[in-house]
Amino acid sequence: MPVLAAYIGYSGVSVALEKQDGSFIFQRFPYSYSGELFSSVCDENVFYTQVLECVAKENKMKLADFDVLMTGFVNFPLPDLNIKLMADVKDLLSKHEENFPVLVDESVVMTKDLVLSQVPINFLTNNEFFANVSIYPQLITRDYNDQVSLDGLIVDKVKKAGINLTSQKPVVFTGDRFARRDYETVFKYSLALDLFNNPGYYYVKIDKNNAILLAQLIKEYNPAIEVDTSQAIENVGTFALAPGDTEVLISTALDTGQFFEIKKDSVFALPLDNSTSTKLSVKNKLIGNLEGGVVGGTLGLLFDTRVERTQLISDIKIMNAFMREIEEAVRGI
Amino acid sequence: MLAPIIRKIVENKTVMVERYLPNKGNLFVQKGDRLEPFQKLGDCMHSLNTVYFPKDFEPVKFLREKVYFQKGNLLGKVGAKKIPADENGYMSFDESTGEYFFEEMPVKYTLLSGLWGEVSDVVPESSVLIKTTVTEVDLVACTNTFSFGELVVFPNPTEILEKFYLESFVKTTEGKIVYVGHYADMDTIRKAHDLKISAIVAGSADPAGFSFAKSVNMGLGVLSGFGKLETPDHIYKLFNSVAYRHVFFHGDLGVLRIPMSGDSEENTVVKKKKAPFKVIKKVTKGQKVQVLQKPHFGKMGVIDRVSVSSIFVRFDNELGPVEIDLPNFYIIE
Repeated sequence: MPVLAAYIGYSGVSVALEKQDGSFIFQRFPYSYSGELFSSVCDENVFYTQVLECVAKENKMKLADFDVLMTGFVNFPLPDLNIKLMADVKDLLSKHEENFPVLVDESVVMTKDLVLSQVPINFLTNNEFFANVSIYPQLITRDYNDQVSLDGLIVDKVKKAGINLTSQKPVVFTGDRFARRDYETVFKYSLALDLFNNPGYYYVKIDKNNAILLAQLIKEYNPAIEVDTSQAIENVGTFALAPGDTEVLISTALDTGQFFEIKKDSVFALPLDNSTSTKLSVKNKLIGNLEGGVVGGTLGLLFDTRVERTQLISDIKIMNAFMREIEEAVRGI
Repeated sequence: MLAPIIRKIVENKTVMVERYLPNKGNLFVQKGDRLEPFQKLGDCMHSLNTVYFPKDFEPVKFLREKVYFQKGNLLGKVGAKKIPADENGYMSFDESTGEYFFEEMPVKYTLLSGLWGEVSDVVPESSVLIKTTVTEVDLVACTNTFSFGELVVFPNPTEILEKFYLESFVKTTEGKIVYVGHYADMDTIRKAHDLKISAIVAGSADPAGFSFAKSVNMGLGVLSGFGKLETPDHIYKLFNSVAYRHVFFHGDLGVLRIPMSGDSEENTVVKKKKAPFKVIKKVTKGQKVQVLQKPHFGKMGVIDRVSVSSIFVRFDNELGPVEIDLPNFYIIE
């Protein structure tokens, strides 16, 4: 039987659906169950059963034709769904070995080692948008200030807990915050950048549909099934955090090299794709001399020389420059 | 494109309602009796007001048994402040708390049915369980309290008018459930609390005011969300049609229950709609939606056309359709 794997998130449902040829398609239903809205009509069981039935129907299939696998933040059991495997989100993150996954949504930040879920009560009472998000969890905003406060809550949570994201493996940001469609795509990149604190190089990916969790869930069910997640996971590029004035020399096998200086307190993106490895030498007072090979991605090579790591999108001046950089970097590839 | 359906009003729901006497008394109905809203269920003797005095209260004389005081007579002192009896009544000593208290002269309390229905069970001298039909109005956010009383409906006024209406109803709002208009700000909520209104309902509320209502255990329900949002028109029309009816505010369930007559026109319309609830639907032109995107947050409109990741909605007062992103809307039925 083909497999349908679902992740129930804070603001939506991500689904990996096996086609007849054995390949998988990733789809997202951008709404989740809200007790405030639906409790007088149905419970989570009825809601999510209907969601998965509709998703299957949209693909001209029947839900009964699938082995249903499930993970996420939901009140199990869901008796109307004949679930073959249910798995804990943290277990799936822990078992994923290829990358270092960081799950982020409006209320939780989770890695293999930690779970942060605190939302200050005064944030709820003083922020109209967030108060509405607690009723309508799927909301996306076109208001810049709302986005600043929403992402600020996530960044603050990580900083106040004193968490430093460091890993030798590529860091992949997953969860509904990164699966959700933003009014400006750049907000996802700025949030990812803000979640790092320690100077160094990080290869960053963004999971646009919780594919890491879904693929791991399918692997748990049947290790023989291969799931290609490349369509759902974006290779963003290398983030180089070098606080203060920085001198950079980059060279590839094809050219003689390029030297440039980056002033402190700026964010600079250099277009670079991920097909070739580039040699990078960085000279910086704080981190000393660093040499190594890096690969690019959608944003290429991103230098962040900010000394004070405040929230990027709350600083209009740097953010404007960052948005221009990203536009040029994406166009440059 | 798929989206959930929300039902702001659920009609023709059969529920059990318990009506009880505040003290033991006489009940005049039996199991199986048909009831009308103004039918007497029972009566008992009940003191309308009981005041507990602080520990440092010194009575005019030491007493351990019920002593009768006439209105205006001195009860005792708190420090230098003399405390007279506000009404005729009895002062007693509560052994369990070690406090004196004064209760007004008990008067005859008559318990009315307040709804149409059938007596399902009777607890002798205490309460009556009634099987009845109600219309439920969904409250997207509400404090976790239960209250019941006459529904007073204000027009959808401006802020200045809101206070004027509350002031005008000073002597008549106690213990009632009041619809205060589109928006309940902090002042209105405080005023409602001062006036001993048992619950207020509004289109939207100030989040800080909502926290206040929660802290003082006052009933507050909102219909659209937080911020200055409008009450959906069809709900306002329903409230107007049932003004002064006895209604039930269920904060725990997030609904306002309005009893409906069993045989009137109110019910015949609804009996056709008894099919199982569908909660997810394909988005199509002509559907009624509630929009959750500024500056139209909370408003109802009709879908003019559907694009890949957004819809175009026509509102009553707008010239052309407005683009609304998926998932910032719900289908309304």
